[in-house]
Amino acid sequence: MQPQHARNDAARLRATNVRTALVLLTIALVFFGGVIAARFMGGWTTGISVVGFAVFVFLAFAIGRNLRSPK
Amino acid sequence: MSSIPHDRAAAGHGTHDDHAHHPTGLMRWVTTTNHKDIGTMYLWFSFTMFMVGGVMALTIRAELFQPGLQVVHPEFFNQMTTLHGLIMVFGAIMPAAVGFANWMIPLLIGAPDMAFARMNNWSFWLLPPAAILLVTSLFVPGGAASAGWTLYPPLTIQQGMGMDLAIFAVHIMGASSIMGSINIITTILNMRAPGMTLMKMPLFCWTWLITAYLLIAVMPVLAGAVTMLLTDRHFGTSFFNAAGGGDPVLFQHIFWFFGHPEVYIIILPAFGIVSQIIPTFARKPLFGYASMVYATAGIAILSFIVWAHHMFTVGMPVAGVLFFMYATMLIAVPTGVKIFNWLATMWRGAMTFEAPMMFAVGFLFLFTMGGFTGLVLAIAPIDMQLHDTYYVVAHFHYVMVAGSLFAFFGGVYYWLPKWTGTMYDERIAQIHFWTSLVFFNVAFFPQHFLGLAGMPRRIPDYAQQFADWNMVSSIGAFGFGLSQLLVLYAVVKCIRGDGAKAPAKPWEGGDTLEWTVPSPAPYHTFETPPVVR
Repeated sequence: MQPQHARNDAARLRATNVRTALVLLTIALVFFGGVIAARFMGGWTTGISVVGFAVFVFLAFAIGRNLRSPK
Repeated sequence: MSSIPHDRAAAGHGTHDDHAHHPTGLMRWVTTTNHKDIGTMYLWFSFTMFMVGGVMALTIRAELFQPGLQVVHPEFFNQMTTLHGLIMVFGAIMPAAVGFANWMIPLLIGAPDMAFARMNNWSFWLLPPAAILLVTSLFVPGGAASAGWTLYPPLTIQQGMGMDLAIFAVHIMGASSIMGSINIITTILNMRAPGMTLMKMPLFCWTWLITAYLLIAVMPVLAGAVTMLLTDRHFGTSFFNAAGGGDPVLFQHIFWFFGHPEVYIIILPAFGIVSQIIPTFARKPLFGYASMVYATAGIAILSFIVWAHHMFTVGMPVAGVLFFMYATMLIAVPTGVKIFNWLATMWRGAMTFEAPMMFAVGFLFLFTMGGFTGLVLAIAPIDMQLHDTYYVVAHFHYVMVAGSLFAFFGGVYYWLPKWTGTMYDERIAQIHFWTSLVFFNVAFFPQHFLGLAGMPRRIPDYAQQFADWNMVSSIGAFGFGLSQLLVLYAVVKCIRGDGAKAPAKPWEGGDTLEWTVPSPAPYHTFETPPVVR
C-alpha cells in the first residue's frame, strides 16, 4: 500500500500527463482535419496558407509552452 | 551537456530486487507495458522489416545487374521499388528509432517507464498488421501499389486494390507514430528525474523530443492526404483528380510538406545516438551542447519551409524557386554546426575505436557526403537536370542508409551490453562495420555517376552505356545485404550470453544515467527517481 502523498503525487503526474497528451492530440487532429478542410474551402494556395499558418501557431505554442517560468 | 553529475547512490536505489521478476511466455510480449520489452519488440520488428525491404532492394538490384529484362516483370519491379521505400521508411527506420526511444529515454532521464504504458503497447501492436497489409498486397488482384513511395496521383487514383491496402497501412502506421510521439513528449516533459532540467538532458532525448514534435505536426498531414486519395478513389471526390476539377500538384505539395520533415524525423534520432557515442569514446563532454540543441531545433523548423525543392521540375514562380532553393541551402548551417561540434568533441580526445565509435565515425563521413550532394540538388538549375535520376537515389541513400542505419548500428553495439548483460563480439562487429562501409560505397557511389550520365530511376531496363556501373552497384548491394547478417549473429550471441559478462558501465567514458543501473538493465528501473545534480 502506497502512502497517501505518493498516491497524490502519482495522481497529479497522471493528470499532467493526460493534459499534455490531450493538447498534443488536439494539434494532430487539427492538422489532419485542417488539411482536408482547407481543400474544401478553397484552392491549393488557401490550403498551403492555412497549413503554413497552423505550423507557425504550432511552433509558437510548442516553444512558448516550454518557456513558462517553473512553478 | 553530456556529462551529468548525479547522485549515484540514489540512482542505485532505483532498481528494486523485489520487482526483478517479470512475466514469461508469449503473453509477456503481447500484453507487456514495460518500456524495455516494447523497445525490444520495436527493434526486432524493424530488423525484420529491414530484411524484408532488403530482399526487395536485392530484387531490384538483381534486375538491374544487366540491361534488358531478366528477373522480374516491369510491373513487379515497380511494386518492388514502391514497397521497398514504404517498408524501409515506415517499417524499418522509424520503428527502429522508436525502439531506441522506448528502451533508452526512460533510462536516460531517470523515469520508471513511459508516461502511457498501455498506449505504448498499442502503438507497437498496430505495426505488425500494417506490415502484413503492405506485404500481402503483393498477392491481391493487380498486385501491390506501384506508383512509388510518394503515392503521387493520378497513378494512385487509377491503381487496384493494392493501393487501398497501402493507404490503410500508412494510416495505421501514422496512428502508431502519433501515439508514440505523444508518449515520448509527455515522458520527457513530465517524468524527468529531479534536477534534470531540459538543458541537462542527454542529447538523444533532445533530438527525440524535437523529432516527436515534428511527427505530430506532419503525420496527420500525410494521413489527411492519403484520406483524400482514398475518397478520390472510392467516394467520388476530386481533391487530386484533374478529371473532376482536382489538382494533382496539390498532393505533391501536401506530401512533401510531410516528406521533407520526414527526412529529419529519420535522421534526428540518429544524430542523438551519435551525440551519445562520440563523447563516450572521445572521453570528453560533447562540445557545444547548447548549440547542438539549438541546431537540432533549427533544422526542425527549417524542415517545414523547404518542401518544394522536391518539386522544382513541376513548375512554380521564380520567386518560389529562389525561396525554396535558398531555404534549403540554409539547412546546411545548423547541420554544419552539428558536424563541427562532433569533430570538436573528438579533437584531442583520448579516443578508442570500438564498434560503436567506428559506426559513428562512418556515419559522420558518409552523412557529410550525403549532405553535400543534397546541397548540389538544392541548386534549382542542377536539380532540374538531375531530378528523377540515380543521382537522387544515391543522395538519399547516403543520408538514410549511411546516416540513420550506421548510427542505429552504432547504437545497437553501444547499448547491447546494457540490454543483454553480455559484451558483443568485437571482432564480428568490426567486420560488420568494414564490410558495410565498403559494400555500401560500392553499391551507392557509382549511382552518382549513373545519375550524372542521365540514368532515370524507377526503370527495370536501361541503355547499354549504364551497364558497367549498374553491375558494380548490384555487387555492392548484395555484399551490403549479406553483411547485415553479421549484426544478427552478434546480437543473437549476446542474447544467448555467449560472451564476456558486461559490467554496469562497460564504456569508461559513459556518464549518463543508464550506466548507473546493472547490466542487463533490471525489468524495473528508477522506481525511486535518481537525483541529478
